[in-house]
Amino acid sequence: MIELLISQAVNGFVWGWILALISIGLTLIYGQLGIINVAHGVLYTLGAVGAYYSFAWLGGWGWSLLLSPIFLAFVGFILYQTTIRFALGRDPIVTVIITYGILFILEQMTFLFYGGIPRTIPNPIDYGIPFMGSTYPLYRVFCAGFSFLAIAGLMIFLKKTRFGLWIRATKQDYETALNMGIPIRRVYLSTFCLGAAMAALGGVLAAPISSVNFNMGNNIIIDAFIVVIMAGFGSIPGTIVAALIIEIVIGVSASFFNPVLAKVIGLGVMLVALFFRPEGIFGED
Amino acid sequence: MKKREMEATLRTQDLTIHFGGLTAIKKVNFVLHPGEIKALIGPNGAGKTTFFNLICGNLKPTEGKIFFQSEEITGLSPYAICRKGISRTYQKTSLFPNLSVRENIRLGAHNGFGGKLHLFRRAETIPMARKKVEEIMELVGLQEKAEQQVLNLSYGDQRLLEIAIGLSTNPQLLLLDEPTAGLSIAESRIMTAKIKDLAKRSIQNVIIVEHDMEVVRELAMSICVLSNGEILTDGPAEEVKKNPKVQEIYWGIGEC
Amino acid sequence: MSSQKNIFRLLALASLAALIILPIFLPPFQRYILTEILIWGLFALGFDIIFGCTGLLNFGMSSFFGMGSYGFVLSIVKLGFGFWPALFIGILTVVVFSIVTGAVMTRFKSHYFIVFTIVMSMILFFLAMNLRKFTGGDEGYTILVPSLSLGITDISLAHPLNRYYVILFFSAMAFLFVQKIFRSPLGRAIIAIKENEERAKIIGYNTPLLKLISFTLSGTVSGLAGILYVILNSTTNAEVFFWILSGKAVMWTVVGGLGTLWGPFVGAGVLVFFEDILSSWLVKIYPILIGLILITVILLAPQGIVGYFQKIWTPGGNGK
Repeated sequence: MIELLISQAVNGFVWGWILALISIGLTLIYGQLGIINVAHGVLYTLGAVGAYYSFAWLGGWGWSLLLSPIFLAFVGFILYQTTIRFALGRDPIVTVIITYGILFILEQMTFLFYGGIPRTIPNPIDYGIPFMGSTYPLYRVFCAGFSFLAIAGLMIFLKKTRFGLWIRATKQDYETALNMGIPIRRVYLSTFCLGAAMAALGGVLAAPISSVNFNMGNNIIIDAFIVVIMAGFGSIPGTIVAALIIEIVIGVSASFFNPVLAKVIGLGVMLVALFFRPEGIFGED
Repeated sequence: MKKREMEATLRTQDLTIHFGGLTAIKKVNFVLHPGEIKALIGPNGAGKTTFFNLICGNLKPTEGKIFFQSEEITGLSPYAICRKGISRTYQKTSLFPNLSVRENIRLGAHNGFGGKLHLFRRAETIPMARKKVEEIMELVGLQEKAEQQVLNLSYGDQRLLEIAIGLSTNPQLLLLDEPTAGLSIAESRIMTAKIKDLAKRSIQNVIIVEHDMEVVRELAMSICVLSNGEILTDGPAEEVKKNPKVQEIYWGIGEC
Repeated sequence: MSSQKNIFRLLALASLAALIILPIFLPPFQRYILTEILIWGLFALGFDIIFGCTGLLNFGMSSFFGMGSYGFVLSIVKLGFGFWPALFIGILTVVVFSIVTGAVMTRFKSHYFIVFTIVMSMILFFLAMNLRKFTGGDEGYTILVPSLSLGITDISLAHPLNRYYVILFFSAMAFLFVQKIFRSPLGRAIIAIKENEERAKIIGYNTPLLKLISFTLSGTVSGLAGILYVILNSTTNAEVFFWILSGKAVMWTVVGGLGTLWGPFVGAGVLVFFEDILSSWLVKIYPILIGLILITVILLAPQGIVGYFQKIWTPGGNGK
């Protein structure tokens, strides 16, 4: 029983890191551009679809770790230039509708191209770590680790590079950044593409664990939004903590109850947490 | 309790509020007598707006009590305090931006003149409030712009509307928070004249926070000086102006 | 100014006349679409009340829709009730649910209110999917809706035309009721909260109570739509609680025009119409077209379709 509990908790921990990737992308886009990206789940889906094709056509899932984020950054570029930049500065509810439209378009295109059948990718790292009597998939540990590295890389990028400084400066004070000569449009474009790339990476990591389905984003997007709001918009450490909490709670509950009920408990715990700390975990408001 | 204090329109007793480590208002015993127009002055950060927020119920005091016309109002919610007869205006204009001038005033007038929250009567047709809205619009001089959307008003007109909304609830005590903030000298003079007029005609009890000493000179019968959350001095205008401590701390900023 | 009012009034009367007469001549599919539009418009009206008129972004309107439909269905299936008692129970269920959840949720500030509404609807979704014995899970219930007894006569809901007129009646009544409320002092006070909650409090309005009233009204209207949905389709299932339906309410209202009360119906009308028509012709790409329509409309008219026309007919801009 204890083994089940712990392995479920570890599963939750792994999913938490994947969810953190996606949520950070979402919070970056909202924090910087003021856009509530309802289409974020589809970007995640496309990342996973990229992982599938990397496996099917290129013979290895591993390529998608690099290719999917690049592909989604490109998609992000197209979306930004054609639509997103017209959404800047608008009422948040208007950005919801615009990204809703993008969601419909992208999801249907994915359906037409990839089809409606869920497909699975075999475990890329077919090795189990000895763990409490049986084994635990090394791949999952890899997921958590890779995600951690990616997020750490992002934070280093933001803190230590000049472009990262520009991103932070623009977010903090648009007027001053503009006056200092920071190329605002490039910053916005890059932030959006970065957010998309992170969602894609989450999809790549998730692909071998869950199955790849054209609408797999619909479930994860809700969790991501809840994490982002619970963490207080704009706080990366807070987002990680929130994502880990919710997934671990769901994972642990799943060892006692069925998965659906576990999700209910996870959501319930978050409601309670919000009740006691309405500012979010490291909230900035 | 002295007889005079019992009749005070507004009285606070050891009013105190802490925000974490900071004590914004420290054991303030403030008195406003009936028919008095008192200026509340003090350097920035002295706690003047916090004081207003406490009186109006936006903030709950950590210690102390507030009495309005001998009735304790400490801890009441803002809408209950409004119903008792206290009203305020804001330094940073706080209107209902997408509604018309008339509607802005009608909302308060509805409460101030006995309206209930009818479910089925058309809001504009309630007679008592309608008359009062017209009166108030004329008082501040906005009757020409009654149907205009507030967003489109000039800043000066918005400040006038700010006062109008303050009046709309038929208050017995009006708290004015820097009514001339941001106005030109000419607009300031008009505003001051209007305030003087309505103080004489309708509301006799006014507390006005001001940085502009001209306005204070024009309007104030008495002055209360707040500094670091405490009352430095409080008394008739002439006396306070001569007080050396006040001149030292504060008068350097304004003219005398 | 008053000529704009007259134009709108004329449009409203014309629409009502069309809604009463047209369906007799419409072929069944189109009539079904029209009935759907009435129901979805009413559902979205609930969202317009809480967001367009009160300023609280409720992203979980599907909760009320589901509660209403299940309240209605379960009282027929499990308690054997007739039409009117079932309707009463359905509405009562939503009202109680709204008051209880609203009392808690309206205390929260904007971001946290939004999350609560999402989480609440997803909790209901998962519960409904899980408690199969009670809710029928994703299969739900298919029922025979009892006929509507009016004392002297019974209106059978087997015939689609009867269903249409019953649904038209209830949605029109609900709409007129809501419209009347927002012209009254109560409704104006609620709108004042959206405009400036702080000031509304200071000028004497009990804003927590008003928010609760608005929340309850909003939930009840959307819940009624859930009941009408059952009358139309004779069925409901746990999927009505899923967040996608809540998103549609947002979409229809914003496209139609927030805060206009007509907006939800216009938005639902336009989008449901396009979706139903396009989905039969261009099965493969219709969601793409819908997406394009959404983006185009909202960029050209961010205040919504009704809002757009309100603006061009009153160049000076007019308060409500």
